[in-house]
Amino acid sequence: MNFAVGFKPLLGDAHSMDNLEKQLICPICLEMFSKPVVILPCQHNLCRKCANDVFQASNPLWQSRGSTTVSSGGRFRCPSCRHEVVLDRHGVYGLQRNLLVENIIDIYKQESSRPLHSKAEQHLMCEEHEEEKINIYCLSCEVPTCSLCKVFGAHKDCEVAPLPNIYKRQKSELSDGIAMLVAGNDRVQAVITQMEEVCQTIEDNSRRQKQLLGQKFETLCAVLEERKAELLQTLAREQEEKLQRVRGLIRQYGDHLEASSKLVESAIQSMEEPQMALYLQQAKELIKKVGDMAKVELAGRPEPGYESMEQFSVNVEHVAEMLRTIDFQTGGSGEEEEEELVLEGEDVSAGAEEERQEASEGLH
Amino acid sequence: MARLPYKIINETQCFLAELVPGIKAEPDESNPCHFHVVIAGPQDSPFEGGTFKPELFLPEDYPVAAPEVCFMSKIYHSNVDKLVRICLGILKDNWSPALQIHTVLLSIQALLSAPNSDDPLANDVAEQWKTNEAQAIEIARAWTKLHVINNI
Repeated sequence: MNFAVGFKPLLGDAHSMDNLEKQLICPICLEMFSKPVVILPCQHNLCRKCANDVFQASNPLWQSRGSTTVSSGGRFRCPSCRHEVVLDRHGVYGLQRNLLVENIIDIYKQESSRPLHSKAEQHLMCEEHEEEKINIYCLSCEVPTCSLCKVFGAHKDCEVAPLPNIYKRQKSELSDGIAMLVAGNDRVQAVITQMEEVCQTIEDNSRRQKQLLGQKFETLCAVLEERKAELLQTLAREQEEKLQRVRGLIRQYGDHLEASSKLVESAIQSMEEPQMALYLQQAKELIKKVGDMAKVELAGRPEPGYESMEQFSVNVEHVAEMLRTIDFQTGGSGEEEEEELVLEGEDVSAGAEEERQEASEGLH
Repeated sequence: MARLPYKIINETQCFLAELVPGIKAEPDESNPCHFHVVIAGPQDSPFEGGTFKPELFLPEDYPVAAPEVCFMSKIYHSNVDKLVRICLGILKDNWSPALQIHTVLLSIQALLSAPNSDDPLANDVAEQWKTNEAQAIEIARAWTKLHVINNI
C-alpha cells in the first residue's frame, strides 16, 4: 500500500520560527519591521517610519528645510534603552539602514508562506492510476482509493463512501478515543496521587505505633525495675534480721567464753599454790564455780540451713516466656494493653467453659 | 476614524487573554483607546487587599506619546493627589515608545509598594510619611479598608 507522496519537510520547527519572529518585531508598532529598517548607534533597530514618529514627537520645532545655523538635526532617545541619538540635518534619513535585518525579514516571510503552498498543492495520487487523485474510501477493504479503481479496478465490487465523510467519522472516533484515554490517564494520575498520600499516611501511622510500642515497653521495664527494688529490699531486711540474731548469739557465746577462760586461768593459778592450806581456802569455791560453768548450756544456736538464703531466688522463666509471647492484636482498636492479651485469653476460655456447661444443662 | 494601530490591537488581545496576573484592563465598549483598569493592592503594602480602578487613555499618537492615567480610586499615597494625577516618571519625561500598557500598570503597582516622599504630588501625605511613617502606613491601611476593599 504505497502512496506517492511529494512534499519537503519544513525548515526549522514551529518553536524556533516563533523565536525568530519575535526578534524581528519593532518595539514601537509591535509588527515585523517594515522596510526600510534603520539601526541606531546603540544597536537597536526600528522601522524608519516609527523612528520618524518618535523623532517628530521629541523635536516638534525641528524643520528639515532651512535653518542652516542648526548644525545638528535634533535628538531623541532610543525607545529600548534610552540612549541619546544625535541626528544630523537629514534627521532619521541620516540613520544607517540595516540591510541585513531587511534581508532576513524577506527570507523569513518567504519561508513562512512556502509550506502553505506545498500543502495546498500536495495530494496523494493512486499508485495504479497516476493521474487520479485518491478521493474516495473503500469500506469493504478499509482503504482510501481512487474512482477509477472503483469503476474498473481492484475495488469494482466493493462498497465505497466519500472521503470527507469517512475522514470526519474517523477523526471523531480518534477524538473520542483520545478523550477517553485522557480521562483514563487523569484517573490513573488521581489514583497515583491517592496512593502517594496512602504512603505518607502509612509512614505517619507506623511512626506513631512505633512510638506507642516503645512507650509500652518502657513501662514494662519500669515495672521490672520497681519489682527488683522491692525484692532487693525484702532480701536486705531478711539478711539484716538473720545477721542481728546470729551476731547476738556470737556476743552471748563470746561473753560466756571470756568468763569461762578467766575462770580457767584463776583455777590454773590456784593449782600452782604450793601451800596446802591456802590452796584449800580457794579450792572449794573454785571447784564449785568450775562445775557450774561446765553445766551452762548455751541455747539458741541457729538450726542447720539457717544461713541459707536459697528461698530468695526467683524463677522468672515463666514471666520471660510470657514476655516473649507479647504480640500485636490482629484487629482491635490498637490502644489496648498488650499484657492483657494473655489474661483475656484465660478469661475467654473460662467463660467458654461456663457457656458450654450451661448449654449442656439447657439441653437436659 | 483612522484605523486602530496594530500595537493597540495586540495589547488589547494580551489583556483579554489575562496574561498579566494581578492586573486587568478592559477596553471601553465605545472607545477602544479608553481602558478600565483593575490593579490589586500589592502584598506586604498597606494597600494589600484593596482593588484600585484607574482609567487609562491612549492618545492619538500612542505609542510615541505616553498613555494618560487617572487614578480614580481614593488612596493615601505620596505620589497620587486628590485630583487623581499620578507622579510617575515613565508617564512623563521617561516615557519610551517601546513601553506598553502592561508595563505602565506594573510600574503603577510597584509605585504603590514604594511611595517616594521626596518627589511628592500630595504634599501633606508626603509630610506625614516622612515624619511618622508608621502612622502614615496605618492611615493608608485604614483608607484601603474604607474605600477600596471588596469594591469589585
